[in-house]
Amino acid sequence: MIVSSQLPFAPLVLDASGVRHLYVRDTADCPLPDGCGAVMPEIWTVVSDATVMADAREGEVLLRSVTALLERLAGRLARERVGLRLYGAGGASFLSRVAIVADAAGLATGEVLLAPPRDTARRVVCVHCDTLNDGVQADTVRCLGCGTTLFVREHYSRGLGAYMGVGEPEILLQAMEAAARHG
Amino acid sequence: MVERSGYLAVIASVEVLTPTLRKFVLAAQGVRFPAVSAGSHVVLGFGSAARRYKNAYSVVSATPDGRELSVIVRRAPQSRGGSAFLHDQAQDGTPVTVLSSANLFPVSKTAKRHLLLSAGVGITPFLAHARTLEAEGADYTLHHFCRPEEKPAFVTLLADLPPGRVFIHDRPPEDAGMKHHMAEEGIATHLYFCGPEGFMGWVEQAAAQLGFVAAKVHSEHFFVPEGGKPFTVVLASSGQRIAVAGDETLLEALENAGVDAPCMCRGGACGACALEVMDGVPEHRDHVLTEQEKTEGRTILTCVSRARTDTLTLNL
Amino acid sequence: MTVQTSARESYRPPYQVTNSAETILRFPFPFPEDSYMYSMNVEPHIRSGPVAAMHNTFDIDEHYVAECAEKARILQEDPKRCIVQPHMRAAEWDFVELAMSSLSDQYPQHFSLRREGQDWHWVNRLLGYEQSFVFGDATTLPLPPFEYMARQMQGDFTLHDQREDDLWMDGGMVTAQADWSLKFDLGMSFRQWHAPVPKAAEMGVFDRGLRFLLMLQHEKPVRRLNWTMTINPRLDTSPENFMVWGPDRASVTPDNVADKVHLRVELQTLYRLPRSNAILFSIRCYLMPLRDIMRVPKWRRRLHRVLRDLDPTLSSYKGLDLYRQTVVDFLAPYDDGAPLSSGIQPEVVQLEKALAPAA
Repeated sequence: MIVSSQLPFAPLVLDASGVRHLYVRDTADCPLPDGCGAVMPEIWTVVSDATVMADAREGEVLLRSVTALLERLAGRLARERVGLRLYGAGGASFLSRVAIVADAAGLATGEVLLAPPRDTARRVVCVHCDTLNDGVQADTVRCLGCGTTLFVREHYSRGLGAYMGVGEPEILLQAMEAAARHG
Repeated sequence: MVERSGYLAVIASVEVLTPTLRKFVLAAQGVRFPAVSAGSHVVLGFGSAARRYKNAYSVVSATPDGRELSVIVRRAPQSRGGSAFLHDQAQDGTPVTVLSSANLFPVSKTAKRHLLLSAGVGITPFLAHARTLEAEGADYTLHHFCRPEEKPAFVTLLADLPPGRVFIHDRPPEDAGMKHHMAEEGIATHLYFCGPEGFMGWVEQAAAQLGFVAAKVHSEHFFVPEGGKPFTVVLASSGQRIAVAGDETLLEALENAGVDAPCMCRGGACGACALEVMDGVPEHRDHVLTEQEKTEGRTILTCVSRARTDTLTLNL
Repeated sequence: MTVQTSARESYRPPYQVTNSAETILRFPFPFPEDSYMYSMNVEPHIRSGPVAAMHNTFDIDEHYVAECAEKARILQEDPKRCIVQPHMRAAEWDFVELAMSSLSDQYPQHFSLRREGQDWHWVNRLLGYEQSFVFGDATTLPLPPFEYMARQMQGDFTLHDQREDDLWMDGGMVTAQADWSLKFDLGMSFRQWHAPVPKAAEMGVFDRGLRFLLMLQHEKPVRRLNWTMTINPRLDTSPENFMVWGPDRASVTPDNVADKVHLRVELQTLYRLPRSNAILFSIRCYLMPLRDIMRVPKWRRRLHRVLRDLDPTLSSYKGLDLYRQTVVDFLAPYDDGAPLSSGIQPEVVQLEKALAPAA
C-alpha cells in the first residue's frame, strides 16, 4: 500500500479509456501527454498576458492567468458529460488547485491525471493560525499570519491543497542542538 | 447445531409479486431489529427441524422503529432448498432469525448524482436506495428491466417513487436505448447495477465504452450459491474430515460441524470467508478473487466455492 | 467506578489531576510484552478484558466531569476541533443512538434514556443535562447531534465514510489528540491520514488494518491500544497548540520526572454504524504519571524495558527524544530484570506505597 497523502503524480499518458480529453497547463513549456497524435486533447494554456483573448488559436485556449483558467475549468466541468479525462501539468501549486476544482466538480480517481510538478514551490498552511503561505521553496517558512517559523511536514491535504506547517519552540530547537552536539 | 445469537422474528406477511418473486415482511419478536443502511443484506436463518438454511437477502425496506423489515426472495431454479422453502412452506408466523447484516452495496455518499440500473430480482437493493435517495432529496434515476409479463408487478412495487425518477422497461437495455441515456450522464454521475449475469455484462461493457472510471462504477454480483458434487474437507490443524453434501455449501458444512468459520455475505461478494487451501483443487465461484488467485488455487471462498478434487485440505 | 461530580481538576497550568487507586489499577497499560513495535493488535471489543477500563462500551471514569469541562473550553477556544461534513448526517444519529443507549444501559446511575418511537428523552445527571428531542430531527437538539453527544463523552471521536475500498475521515471532534489535526486531516483516506507514521507502511500494518476495518460488522466492535508520552497531564497535545505545550518536552529533570512524565494511552475502539454504514473511531485517552505507574511492580519494570529498547525512529516520531533517557535512568533501579507475565494485567490487587514526593 502506498501510505502517502501526496497527490498521485505520474508522467502523463493519454488514457485510451477516456472518450474526451482536456489538458490544462500553467505554461506552454509543459509537453503534451504521451500518446497524443491520432487523438488530441483540447489544450488550455496559461500565458500570463493581459492582451491575449481566449479561443484565439485553433485547438488551444489561451488564458491570462491561473485564476482565469481555474474559473473557466470549474464552469466547464459543471457541464461536462461522462468520459472526460482531465490532465494537468505545471507547478505544484497549480496542480494542487486543479485537483481542488476537479474534486469539487465530482471527478474521481482515474479521471484526473497530474504530471510530476515542474517546481518545488509548495503551499503551506499554518496549523496554528490557518494562514496559507504560497510558493514555499525551503523546508521552513515564516508564517505570514502569526510570524511562527513553520517546519513543513511531509503531510499534504488534498482538500486544503497545502502541506502542514508546524512551528518548533525555540527551547526545543536549542535542546535538540545541544543533544546532537553531546550525543 | 445452535445458531449464533441473532434477532428472533416471524414472517408477518407474504406477498406474491410474480410467479418467482415473493416479498416477505419480518416482524421482530422481543428485541427490535437494528437500523440498516440502504443496500444492506441480512443473513436469515430458517427452515425445518430436519434442514436449516442460512441465506443472505437484500433488505428492501425497514421501519424506523425496528419492528419490521422486508426482503424479496426469488425462487432460484438451482436452489439448494432455501428459496424453495420460503416460497413453498413459509407463511405468516413462520419463525426466522436475522443472524447478521452488512452493507456491501452502499451508494457513494459524496456523489452528486446516482444512476441505478437493475434487472429482474436485481431491483431489491435499489428499492431501499431509491427511497433513501428520494427522502434525502438526492439526484438519481432508476431504470429497471424486466420481462413484459412482469412489468405490472414492478410498476406496483415502484409506485411510491416519482415518475420522473423511475423508468420500467420491458425490453433489454440495448433495445431501450440505455447506452444513449448513459452517455448523456454528467461527469459527476456514479453508476450502480444489479441483475442477472447477462445484464451485468452488458452494463459493464457499455460503461467501459463510455469512459466511466472504476471509481464510479458499483455493482453487486449477488447470487444464491448452488450445489454440486459432494466432497470431503480436511481441517489441517485437527485432521478432522467433514463431508460436504451436494446440496450444501462448504461454509454450511463447516458450520454444521461446529467449526467457527469466518463469513459475511454468503454470496461470494465480500471475501470475508477466504481460507487458505493446502491441498486439493478448488472450484471457484466467487466474484472476489483475481483470475491469478483463482489459477493459483491457494485461497477459497467457502460460502460459494467447492472442490474439483475429492478432498480439499484447509488451513483451519 | 466512582465519578466526581464537580471539576476540581485542571488539565492546563496550574495542573491539578490526581488518580485514585482504583483509577490506577484500571489503567489500560499498553505493553503486553517487554518490547514494542507496531502491530495490528486488534481484538473484539467485548465487555471484558485484563483491565476494567475495557469493561464498558465507552469508559467513564472519575475524570469525566473535568474532561468534559476541558473539552468544552477547547471547543470554545477553537471551534474547528469539531467538524462534520454534510454527508455524515446519518452517521451523526448513529453515534447519538450508540452513545446514549450504551451509556444509559451500562451506567444507569448517571445516564438515562427513554425512547417512545422517535421521541427520545435523555438525562445526563453528571453534567446536569436533560433533553427531550425527536430522533432524526436535528432542529430539536440545541447543537448538531454529533456535537451534542460528543461533548458529553470523554475522549475523541471521528466518523469515517466507506467508499472506493477506503475509509474517509469526514467528521470528528478532536480535543485530546496526540499531535494530529482534525481540520488538516479532514476528508483524508485511511492511507492519507497515516502518511506521517514511520515504519508501519513498510511493515504492511496499514494494508491489513484497512482490509480488516472495511469488513467490520455492526455489533462486532473491535479495540486496540496505542500509546505515547506527554509531559504534564495535558489532554490537548494538538499541533494547533504545539507552540504552547511543546516547550514542556525540554522541562524534564531527574527531580521532576516522576510527576511530569505521563504515559499517554489511547483505548481505540471501532464500530460499524448501522444507518450510515460509516465507521466510528473512538479514541479514549488515559494519562498516567510515572509516579502512579511505579506503584505497580510489573508495569514499572516493563515500561523500563520497553523505553530502554525502543526503536529510535519510533522514539523520534513520538517526540520522546529529549527526555526518554531521563525516564529510563529513573526507572532502571526499580527493574530487577525478573521475568514478567505476558499481557497487560497488573497482577496485583493493591498498589504499592507511593514514592516519597520529589523534594
